[in-house]
Amino acid sequence: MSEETIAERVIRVIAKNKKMAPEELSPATRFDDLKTDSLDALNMIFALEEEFDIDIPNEEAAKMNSIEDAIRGVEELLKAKSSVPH
Amino acid sequence: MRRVVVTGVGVLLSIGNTVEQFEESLRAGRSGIGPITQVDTSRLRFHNAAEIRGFQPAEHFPELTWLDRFAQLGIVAARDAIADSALTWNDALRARTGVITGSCLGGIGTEDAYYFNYYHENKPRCSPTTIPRIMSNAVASHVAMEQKFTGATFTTSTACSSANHAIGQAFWLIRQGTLDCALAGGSEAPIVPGHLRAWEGMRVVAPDTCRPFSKNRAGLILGEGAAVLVLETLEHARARGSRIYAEVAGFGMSADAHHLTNPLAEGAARAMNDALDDAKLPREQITYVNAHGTGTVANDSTETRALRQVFGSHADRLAVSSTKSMHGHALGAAGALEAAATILALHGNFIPPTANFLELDPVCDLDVVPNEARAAQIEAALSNSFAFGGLNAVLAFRCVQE
Repeated sequence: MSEETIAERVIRVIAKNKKMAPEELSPATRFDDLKTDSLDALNMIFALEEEFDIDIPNEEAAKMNSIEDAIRGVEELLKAKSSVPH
Repeated sequence: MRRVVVTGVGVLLSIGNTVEQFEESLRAGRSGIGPITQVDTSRLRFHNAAEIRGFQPAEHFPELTWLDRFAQLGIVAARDAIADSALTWNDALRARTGVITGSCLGGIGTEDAYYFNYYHENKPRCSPTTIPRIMSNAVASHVAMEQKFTGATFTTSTACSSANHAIGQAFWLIRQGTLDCALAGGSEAPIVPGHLRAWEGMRVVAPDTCRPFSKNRAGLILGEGAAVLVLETLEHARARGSRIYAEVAGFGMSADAHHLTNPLAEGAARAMNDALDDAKLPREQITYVNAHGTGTVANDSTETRALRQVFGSHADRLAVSSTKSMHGHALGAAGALEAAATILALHGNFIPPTANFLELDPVCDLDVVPNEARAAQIEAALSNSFAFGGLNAVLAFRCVQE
């Protein structure tokens, strides 16, 4: 079994949060189209933080308008995290 | 003046997941007190409580997963009360219906688990739904949203008097014309590790069971549960041919202004007198008192003195029982469970007993209906709640011919 990509993981987390099938979502899906209210959005951000063990700052979260944005944001935060010397 | 009646009851507690089961347990004098199963009690000095049995939250909340247990219990009781009332809803009635609930602790289970994760497990993050889970008004808000009730809606938090204050406010708001209908009651889920430990510190929890008014009583037993009443005007209930459980006849409240934990007979007596005066009920018409009767040394003797102050020689003709002997002390929900018990007694012509009673205590020399329920026509009854902090709230109920 091939390892799940970051994009697939993001989609899985968001689909679970919205009680949808992952196939119904694509990187182009916008959160507005998913009828996401502010509490839903907070829950999704929290779920992504838990999934990837990252902290998503408010200014990063504000830039996430689509699933594509969320994938890019998560990738950048993961990159920043791995470059921090332990 | 508008008269207010109870036309629906919903309960969820250790001795009944339905109103029918609850009434049957009250008639049988069945206690729901037993070993705590929800949490590990190995570090505690007491191990018993009155827990709900066979409650499966997922059956009731397939979608809404982020509710504290106290909210789950309250919402289910409210749904059951609404179904029991058989009210027909329209937009006009919804706009004049409010939800008024009592809770002492709110979502303390959620809080306890979060603090454990944060302080002990060093978990870096906290779910964004933690705050709305914890808030004490969760039941009032969720029920209002679910049913689209938009009238006066709020939550009272006055420790062990919370639900009586809630029901009393709902009653007055309907009587004065602010609301036409209300869901009123309370819920509590106190079986939480840190909270149980805090009760242990007060040294008022009995090691075995709750024996109100009994000579060898050793304290209270905590219970969890919820009860919600549907209140509406007598006129409205009669017009729709509804079953009427009882009339809410009066409400009285007072502050001892005395001591944080020691009760004062005069404060309790003042709340009872105010409830009776508010109801315009002569003392002699009271048949039954559902006592606060916690089973602590201090409460039960003080409550006896207060009852004697209020009723004089009629005190010897009163039936006084504590149903906490069966369903435990549900703190902010206690008044709601006991209002429901009182209403079922009024409607069903019986007096619930004080269970677990062993021996008469000379300082509690009332007819406490030891161990066995009694058939009796109750003309009118009081239900007492006295809180830590000296805040007293008393409801008066009266029989209504349907």
